[in-house]
Amino acid sequence: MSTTEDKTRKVKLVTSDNEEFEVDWEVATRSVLIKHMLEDIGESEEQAIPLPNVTANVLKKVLEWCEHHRKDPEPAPESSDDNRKRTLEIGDWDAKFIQVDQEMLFEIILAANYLDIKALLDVGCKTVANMIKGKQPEEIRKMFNIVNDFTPEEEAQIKKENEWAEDR
Amino acid sequence: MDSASQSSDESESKLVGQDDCPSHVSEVLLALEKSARMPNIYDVEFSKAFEMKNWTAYRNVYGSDKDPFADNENGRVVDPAWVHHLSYSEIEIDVVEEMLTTLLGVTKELRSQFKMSRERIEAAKRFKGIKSLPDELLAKIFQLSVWEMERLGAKRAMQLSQVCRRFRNVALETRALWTALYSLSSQQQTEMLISRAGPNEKFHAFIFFDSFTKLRPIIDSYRPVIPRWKTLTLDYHRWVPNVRAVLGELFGILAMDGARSPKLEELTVNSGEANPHHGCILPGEFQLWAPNLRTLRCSYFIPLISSSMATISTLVIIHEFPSPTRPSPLKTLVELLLKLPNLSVFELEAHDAYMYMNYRDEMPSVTECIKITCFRLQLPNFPLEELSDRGSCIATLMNALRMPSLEELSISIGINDYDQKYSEGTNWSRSLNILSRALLPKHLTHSTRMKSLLFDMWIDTDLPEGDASSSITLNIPFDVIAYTPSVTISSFVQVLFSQRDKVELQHSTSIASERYRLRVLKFAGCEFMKFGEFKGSIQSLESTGIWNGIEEVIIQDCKLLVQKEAKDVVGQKKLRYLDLPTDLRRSHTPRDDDDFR
Repeated sequence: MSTTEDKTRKVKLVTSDNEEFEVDWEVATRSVLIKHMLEDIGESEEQAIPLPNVTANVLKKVLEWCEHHRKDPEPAPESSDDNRKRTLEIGDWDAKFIQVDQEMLFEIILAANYLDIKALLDVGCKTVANMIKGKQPEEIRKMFNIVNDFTPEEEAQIKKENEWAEDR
Repeated sequence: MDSASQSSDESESKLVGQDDCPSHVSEVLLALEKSARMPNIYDVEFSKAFEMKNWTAYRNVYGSDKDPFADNENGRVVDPAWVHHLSYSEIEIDVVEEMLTTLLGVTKELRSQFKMSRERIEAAKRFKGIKSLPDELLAKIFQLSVWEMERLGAKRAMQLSQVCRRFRNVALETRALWTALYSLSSQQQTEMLISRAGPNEKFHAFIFFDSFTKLRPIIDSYRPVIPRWKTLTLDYHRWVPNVRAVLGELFGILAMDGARSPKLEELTVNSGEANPHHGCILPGEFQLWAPNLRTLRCSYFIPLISSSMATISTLVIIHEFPSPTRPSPLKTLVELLLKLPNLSVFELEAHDAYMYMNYRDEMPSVTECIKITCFRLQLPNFPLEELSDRGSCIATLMNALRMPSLEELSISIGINDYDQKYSEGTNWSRSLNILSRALLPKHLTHSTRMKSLLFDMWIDTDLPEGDASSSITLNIPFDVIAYTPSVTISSFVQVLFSQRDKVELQHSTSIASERYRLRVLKFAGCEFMKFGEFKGSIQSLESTGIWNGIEEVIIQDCKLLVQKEAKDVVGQKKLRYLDLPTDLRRSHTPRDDDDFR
């Protein structure tokens, strides 16, 4: 539970490339990882939180998302099957936010996973799922520059699976 | 002249080689070579540096004080030196042009090589991108992608598993990707799915019924995993003549086989809009077969159950309510509600519920649903002008339905006959008054646990080009909102909060102002609300005496009301102005989905 003091508090974050960011407590604690680290260090305001897995340009983008969603309620814990009812829809702001090149998109996903920001991770994963949507394997390969590394035996198995799928 | 521009001028002067005074056009090439070697080449203004007058060759031909055409009365150029310069320079220009063309070709080739390299770099970055994700994130993306496809999830899972070896490994290890069984799949495919899902996963079974469906082989192929069904969806093609018979056959086979689905949590029955059914009695074995069923979703199908089902906590119904048959769909719905003693979430999407049918003789005056805590009502495609003060199906239902434990009430009405030109004036306001009184009846004030109310009235056709009419008002009875701590209003016309009329208040006790519980009032997505309308809404609250207890007024996504104006009305302390889009759940006019495949 956050207190009024927490909300006015500033938090220092240091990226892997040694850049320091000072942000509001409410913004930083969208990340469960940072929240737990702050709880561990207690009141020590001067102590910077090291984030060795995130570079400055990615953290800047992640903090932009956290700033926009600073007032959002805490996401409820969910069972894996609750996801089944979820669509791939993304809110307007988030959709605009995540319009980045593929390199940055995957960096954001990795950062959200590391920082434990579930809602941002969802936005990233849904974006990739939307990119895959309606695409054949060859199109997916082209989109992500993936090499088809199946052996002839595996190719034969795949061909058989496809025959089953078409057989009604 | 500052030092920078001075330096630039010097550079330009050096480029054209004025100091050397070369005598041929080929000095262009020398100048280019020099320019390439200049350290400050990017500062040079080429158009200025290469001005024609700067060139010796040009000056040699045209730059002299003597006019070469001065003595050409007979049409002849007199100065032979000038003619010599001209023809020599022409040859030189041709040579230079050829060289420049070659150079241009080289730059084009270089550019295309660089473009290819850039594309390869981008491709490498992309490959690194997806490759950089750990398996669990790739699996999460696969799950989202597959689950979104519902009954066709297996098809997506197969496509993903055929991309590359890593994708295949991740897909095969993620057993939840293979749990959507669809009755139109082949026997081999069903066996493959069951095998890939492994021994512990729960399944989501989809059975499609048309006139060719043979249930026995489907049930036979599903048999090994019937005890592990988690959800079962029955989709009826619109031309299936008798849903009752098909359902009877299904449960007959399950009963004959002694099949049980103890893990089944959700049953969905989708009958087509063109073929609505109600009153079909689910056989008694139904409860034995699925003893832990929690959610029942029915579209154009309202079942009856023979005895109470205490396990069901969520009911979702989409149905049209006027019907010439008896018992009416409304009565069937009420009877179903009474058989679900632990129902806590009730979602109803009612179609054509504006119509008046004389159901009163068969409807109980009061239907107590004591465990319902959340009621969400959707009325899409609602023709307001057709609403009669004699009554309507929805008014009859809302009047009968008593939910003393209600905590969350959400009402969404999609008005389909709003027209800027013709909807002006008191008739519309009067119809809106009838509607709001029908949807927020007086007895709701007895639901003393209410925490939140959403009243969302929107245009279920194209939005008007200009503003909606400011002469139409939606009157919300203030007694309902007075007892609710958080109220959200979304409306395309002005909202006023008002007392009920004397007839409505006849048998009610007056409300004590100290019992008012409204603290947060939110206006969301009121796309035509301007300063005047907002002020009017707040003033109507002030006149009812609720205003003083309100702690926060939230304005969200009301494009015509700027923050300063809102502040002028409610003050800085109470205002929270959000520039975020609203996320209201609205059920739009349905499209008939004929293709279940």
